[in-house]
Amino acid sequence: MIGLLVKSIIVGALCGFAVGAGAARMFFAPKVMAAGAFRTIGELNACMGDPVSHISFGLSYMLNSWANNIAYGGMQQDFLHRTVPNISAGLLLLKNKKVEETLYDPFKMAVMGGIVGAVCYALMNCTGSLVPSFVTDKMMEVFTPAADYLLIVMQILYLIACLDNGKHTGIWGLILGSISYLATGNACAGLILGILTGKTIEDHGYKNKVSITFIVLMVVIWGYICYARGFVGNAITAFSQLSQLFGQ
Amino acid sequence: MGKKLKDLFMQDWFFIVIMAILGAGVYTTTNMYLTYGVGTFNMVTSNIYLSERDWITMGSMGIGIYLARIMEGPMVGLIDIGGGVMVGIGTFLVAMTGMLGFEFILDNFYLSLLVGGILGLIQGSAIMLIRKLIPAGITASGSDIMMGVGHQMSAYCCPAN
Repeated sequence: MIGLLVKSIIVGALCGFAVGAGAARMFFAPKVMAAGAFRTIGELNACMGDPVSHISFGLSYMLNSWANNIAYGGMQQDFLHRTVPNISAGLLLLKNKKVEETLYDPFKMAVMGGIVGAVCYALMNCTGSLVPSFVTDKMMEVFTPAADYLLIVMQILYLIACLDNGKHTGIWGLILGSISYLATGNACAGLILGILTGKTIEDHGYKNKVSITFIVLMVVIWGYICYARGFVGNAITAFSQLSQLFGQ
Repeated sequence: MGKKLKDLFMQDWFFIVIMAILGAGVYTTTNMYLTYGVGTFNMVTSNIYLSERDWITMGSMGIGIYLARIMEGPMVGLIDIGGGVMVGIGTFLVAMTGMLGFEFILDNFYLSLLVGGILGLIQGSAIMLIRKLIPAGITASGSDIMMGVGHQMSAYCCPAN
């Protein structure tokens, strides 16, 4: 328990510190490179410097993350997108109502974000033993087949996207997707890289530097994956067995 | 003193520091999950594959949104930490670590902090480099299709996302 507490404080403080600094820098993008999310800056602006709305918004998403963490061991992304920036902003604005000196200041947001991140992350991790184990077991029983179906849906969505978007994305998507499916069992990676390669070729032509880089990268990556998974050996064995089946 | 610190935190190179710290934190949440069963920032499905140590499937779930956010980040001036860091480093690079045979890193808290920090550093430096080079060159396309697929996926699979 002590180990979990100490490690949670360390990890929570690191994440919160970085997110606080990144969120404050968002107000000066694109001149200053920031690290946050579009929804974060929208919601920070929507609270309009009122500390009560910041804190209540952040707390409501924290309860959501808390429940997810207890249920299956992962809080979703809302903790870093919504909870830490908003609660840090709210706590800073309690003392000083001016946004320019608090919310737009990356140093203060980083320090407060570190404290909020450490406290909230440790709190959410150390209360996991409150839920009886049969609840989490049942949840995993429901989620595992759902996750398998979700994979099939993902592959189909990417396949539809690559076929819908033109000749080049279709060709590259189908070729790389098939290689990916036969070599690794999952077509998503090949389809995605095929879409990116095909679209780049369509927009910039075959002779462009970026396109040639992409094509070379694809050949190298998929060649290595096929070699590492023994794809060529398996294919040769399968074909020779097939020819024996047909009696030469 | 306050003004100097504020200016320090606004520097361009400080972005690389932010990414290194965030990368270390998010990468280590995987170690927390493997040791204590709580604490990642992933989706439900990624956690299932993580608990079974099925690295290939876990890697294929994160690659699309990661590539799209990395390509979009330097252009917009804002890297989306959901796709860029939490899915990118927390799901995809963790799966890469497992696939390449370095699972012992994920089982050790201090090594995870170190390796996560290095990966964040590399990612931050790459993004700043691309940002400096952008006015001269052209960019790859296709990230709009990625985001379209992501939007469709969240429309179909709302509760599990």
